[in-house]
Formats: sequence, C-alpha cells, structure tokens
Amino acid sequence: MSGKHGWVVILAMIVGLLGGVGLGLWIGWVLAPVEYVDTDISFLHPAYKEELILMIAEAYLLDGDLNMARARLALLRLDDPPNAVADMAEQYATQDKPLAEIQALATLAAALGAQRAPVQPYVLPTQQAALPWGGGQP
Amino acid sequence: MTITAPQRRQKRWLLPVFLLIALAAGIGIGLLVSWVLWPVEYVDVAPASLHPAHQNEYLLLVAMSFARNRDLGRAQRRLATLGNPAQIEAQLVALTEARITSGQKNAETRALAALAYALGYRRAAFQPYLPEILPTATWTPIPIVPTSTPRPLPVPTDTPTATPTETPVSAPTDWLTGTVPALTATPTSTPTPPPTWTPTVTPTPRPRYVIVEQERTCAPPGGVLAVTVLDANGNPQPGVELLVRWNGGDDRFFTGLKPENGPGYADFDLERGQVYELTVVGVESDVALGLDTEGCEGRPASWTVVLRLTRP
Repeated sequence: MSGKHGWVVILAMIVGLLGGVGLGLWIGWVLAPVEYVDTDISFLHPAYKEELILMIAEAYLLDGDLNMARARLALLRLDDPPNAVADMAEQYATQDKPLAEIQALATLAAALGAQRAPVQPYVLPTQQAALPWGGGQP
Repeated sequence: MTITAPQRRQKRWLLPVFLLIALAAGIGIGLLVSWVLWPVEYVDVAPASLHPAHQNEYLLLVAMSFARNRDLGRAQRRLATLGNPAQIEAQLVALTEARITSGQKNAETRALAALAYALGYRRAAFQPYLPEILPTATWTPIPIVPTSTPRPLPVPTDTPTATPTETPVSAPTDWLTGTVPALTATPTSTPTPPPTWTPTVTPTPRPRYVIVEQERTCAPPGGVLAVTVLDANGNPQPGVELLVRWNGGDDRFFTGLKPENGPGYADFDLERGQVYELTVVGVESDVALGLDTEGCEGRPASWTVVLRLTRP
C-alpha cells in the first residue's frame, strides 16, 4: 500500500467511525432513547416526593402503622427519612399550609424519633391518631 | 515500488469496505454509550411513569389521604398525575375489588372503597367498607370541615437528562427489606376463596373534638376569637390547650383562664388581614378554618367556635 493511499484509508475509517458514533448517539439519545416506563418511586420529581411524604404522614394518622409508614418512606430512598419528615413539618409550619397537614407531618416525624420543638404543639398522640372508622388492622 | 492497475482497482474497492466497517463500529460504540453507559435518565419523573405496583401504592396513599382530609378535589388532582383519569379510576376500582375479594378488611381497603365510592363507583361490594359517616345513597364529597383554598399540585416538567446512571431500573426489586410488612402490590390473578368474615364495619371509637358551632359575629369590639370547649357530657371543660395558626405563625392558649366567661371559655385576639385556623392540641380534633376579620363592613369580625369532645 502506498503512503498516500494508506492515509486515505485511515481518513475514511476515522470519518466512518466518527459518523457512526454520531449516528449511534443520535439513535440512542434522540430517535430511540431508553424509556423508563416502569420507573421506581424514588425517581419521582421532588415535588411529587413531597406530596408522597405528606400522604404517607396522613396515612399514618389513619392506620397508626409506623412500620408501614417506615416502609413507605423507604421507597423514596431518602437519606434520612425521620429528619426529612421533620424538616418538612417545620417548613410547612412557617408557610401558609393547612394545620392538618402540619399535624400529620409533625406526628409522623415525632413517631420516627425526630422531635422538633417548633412543631411539637402539632403532634397528635399516636394511640389517638386514627379516625373512628379507620383505625388499625383487622 | 510500482503499483499495477489491477492492484489499484482492488484498493479502490477496499476503501468503501473500510468506510462501512468503521461506520458500523462507530454506530456500535454510539449505541453502547447511549443505551448502556450513559442512557437518557429520567431523574424527575411524574407518577404516570411509575411501575404498576408503585402506581397502586400511590393510589392507596391518595385514598388514605382522602380518607383523612375528605378533600375529593385534591384526591382527583393527585389521581390525575397518574395518567388518564378514567383509566386510573378503573385501576382504583379494580384494586379495591381485589382487596375486598381477598378479604383485606382494614383501613386501607376502607379508604380505597371510600374514594371509589366518592368518585361515583357505587358498588354494592363497597358498602360494608364505607365509613359510617358517609351516607350510602346520597353522600356528596363535601369535607366535614371547610378546607382551605385548593392548591394545585405542582406539575414539574420532565426533562430528560443524559447524565450517567448506575443501572437502569425497570422494575422495583427491593421494595421492602427486613421485618416491615409487605406493601400492597398489584393483586395477583390467583383466585382467592370468598371471605369468611361478616362484612360489617366495626368502628374503633376514639376521643375527638368536633366543631358543633362556628359562627362569625359583628358585635363590637370585634376581632375576637371566642372558643368554648365542652366535654363529652356537654359540660364546659377547663384546661384544654388550643392551637391557633395563621400564615407563618402560631400560638397556644388555654380554656378556663377567664372564669367569668365560664370554665370552658378562652379567647384570642385576631389581627386584620390574617386568616386563622384553630384546633385542640394533643388530641384528634376538627380544625376550624377560615377565621378572619372580614365581612362586617369596616369593623373587624369576631368568631364564636364551640368544640365538643365525642365520647370515646
């Protein structure tokens, strides 16, 4: 192979390789990207996670099942679930949030061991947490 | 060294082959990078793209939250985040029926039945699970206590980001570990024997303060929240701690500190421009909402609230 022709082949391979990489990335990222249709609950947007934490707290007030509340929080893969709930309760207390929501969060945070003085008045006694028709397991 | 004509022709033919081989290799590398090494990762997904088992858990939590706050509008907005409302409601009904069929007669099933019922799915099978406070035929989803202004759910925009990811998760594998009880996942199609329990709701009474009166008054001097707390027998109850809350603040006060007004009496000065909420500290209680000083033509309004303990 002559020197000139060798360079042409190498250049063609480089162009082909780069073109191929570009095409592959375009297919993989744009044309047919990986789709997560069955995503994990921990991938939720923070706003939805916050909504879920609130719902978990309200569910705890309904059934009084702390293990279940812990399990549900575990789905969110928070770094420190008790303090995340307590932080949220404190944050809600300083915002224009309904009292009932602060009560739910403060009660769950306290049950998880993250008691905070500012939201202590909002804590409901656990054994009285359930609504008349919603209490406990059968 | 000289190259003959046939050799030159042969090398010209090799050029596109090399090009195609390089192109194919490039595509392979590109796909490896984009599908395996750094695939598009949806880090801030909406509930609609959750795994069905997690969607069911989400449905369950929406139902339990509804059972607690009776805010049907909010429950519907939450359900809407899961996708097509008709489809999601059908999923809710299916989940409820599956739990009823499998004999799970607990707070979760009751919450699901209550939400399905409130959404208009009046199935006979749901009746035994409905709370007694829901009249079975004509119940309309009006909260027991007035709720604050409905706030729309945040609708984050899902922006696919091509950041490196660990392992694409296509299904939840580690929902629960340790001793925590199993969550309600998608009901299996395994036929279950008919329930053997008697389908009657056995309420567990809990002490709870309910609002028996909440009235705005325009009598001078105005701007006073007058609260009376009664025990289960209807007698004024001193020493009850009350919590009043407004935007960004709260305060506590006790009944019985003004005995001239009765042992169950307490009051709190309302400021103009604020909207207050009132409840009892440390026990289940209705929340009196919307306590403001408006509505009295220039003079600050006052409020009279009477709370009574329901018999445990």
